[in-house]
Amino acid sequence: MRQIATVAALLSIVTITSCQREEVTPIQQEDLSINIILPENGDIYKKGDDIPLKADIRYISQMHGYIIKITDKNSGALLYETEGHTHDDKISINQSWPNSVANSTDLEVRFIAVIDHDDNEKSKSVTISTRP
Amino acid sequence: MIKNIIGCLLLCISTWHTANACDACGCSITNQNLGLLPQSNRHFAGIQYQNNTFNSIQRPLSDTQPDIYSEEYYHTVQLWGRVFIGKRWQIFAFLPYRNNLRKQSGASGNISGIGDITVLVNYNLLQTNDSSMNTIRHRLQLGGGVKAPTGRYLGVSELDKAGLPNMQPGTGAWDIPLNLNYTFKYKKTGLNLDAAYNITTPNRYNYKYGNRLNTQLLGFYWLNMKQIAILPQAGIRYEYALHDHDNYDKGWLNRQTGGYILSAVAGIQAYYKSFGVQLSFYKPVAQAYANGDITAIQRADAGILLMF
Repeated sequence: MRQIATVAALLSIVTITSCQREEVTPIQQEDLSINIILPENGDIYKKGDDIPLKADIRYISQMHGYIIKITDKNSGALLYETEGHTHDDKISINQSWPNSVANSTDLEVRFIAVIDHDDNEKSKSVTISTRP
Repeated sequence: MIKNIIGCLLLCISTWHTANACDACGCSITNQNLGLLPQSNRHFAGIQYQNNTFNSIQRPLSDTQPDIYSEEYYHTVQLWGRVFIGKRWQIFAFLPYRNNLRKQSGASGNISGIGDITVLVNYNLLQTNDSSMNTIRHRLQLGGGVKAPTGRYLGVSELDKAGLPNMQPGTGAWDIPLNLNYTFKYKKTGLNLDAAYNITTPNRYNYKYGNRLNTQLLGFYWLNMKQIAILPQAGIRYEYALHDHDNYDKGWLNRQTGGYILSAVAGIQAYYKSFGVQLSFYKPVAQAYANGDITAIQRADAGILLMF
């Protein structure tokens, strides 16, 4: 009897601790904010400059991560892409990209906040120019 | 008898071969199993080598980026021992040293160091006499303990978030391991059921690795050859890990993590006087881990121990 009671107690502990707490927040893209600090719209950079990529992203719950894309607006070519799996509700991005564009063109710098794996995301961009 | 000896030798050789051919590694995806324990009334100290091999896929956030494929090798060398206190109480201690290697796109990186120390206190709840008069013998022991965050842990990595078993020597958290070990023996044949459940707690980064369950059912046969006892054994092992929490306080579950692995197990133990050796090989036969992004390839354990 004592053996059965002890094993039952052990199984009860396992069962109880198998329950996982989870906060489930419905997706609300309006509650996701992207504040691009740098670069600013209309900034002009030369080839060889480090283009700062600085932004703060906030959401009411956990985000999966972020993507940054730099695209040549004239040709549509994707010049640079990076991403980070942050799994947080606050993402602070502070990095740079060495500008390798030799011609004069406009660049779109897009910051994408990825909420989950179901394509729930929000983005914001600025347009800058580059000169030889 | 001769057939039995040849069978044992073949199993032993095949297990050795596999362990050597792997040339890899061993931290468990889950916690420590005790398995079939040597003579129940003696202290022992031993050293074990474990290796685990995984393949993994990291899926990028961006649709334009390709998946990243890598191989992970977990090596552990572990000192362990058991001390009896009275007839029913026993204390186990485990001191691991881990060396975990990751290979990706031709490059590799490894992390090594002392791992998390575990101490277990077990109680023999049921035990028949070892008298040769008994053709049926049982032994049931239950226990629990603590795993202390003595191993190096530098914070949550992107690999953790992608669901990969922890590459670092420690987890940075205190855990409570529980275990149940039951052995049934009829004449020379027996069964061993071993279950270990690890209740985890969040570390200082608020990351909580999921609780883990290990169960193993082994059938074994006891062969006596003069002063040598040989125990070939085979069975199944089931490992289940709950999801990790990215942030335990906020209840953020990481659904990229957790899953199960069902493995076939073959092994052998041999004892000569106070000296024992153990070899085991595990081959997954079914699994669903980290949404299928992590694939367990194989695991091999080898160890020696000295009873006193």
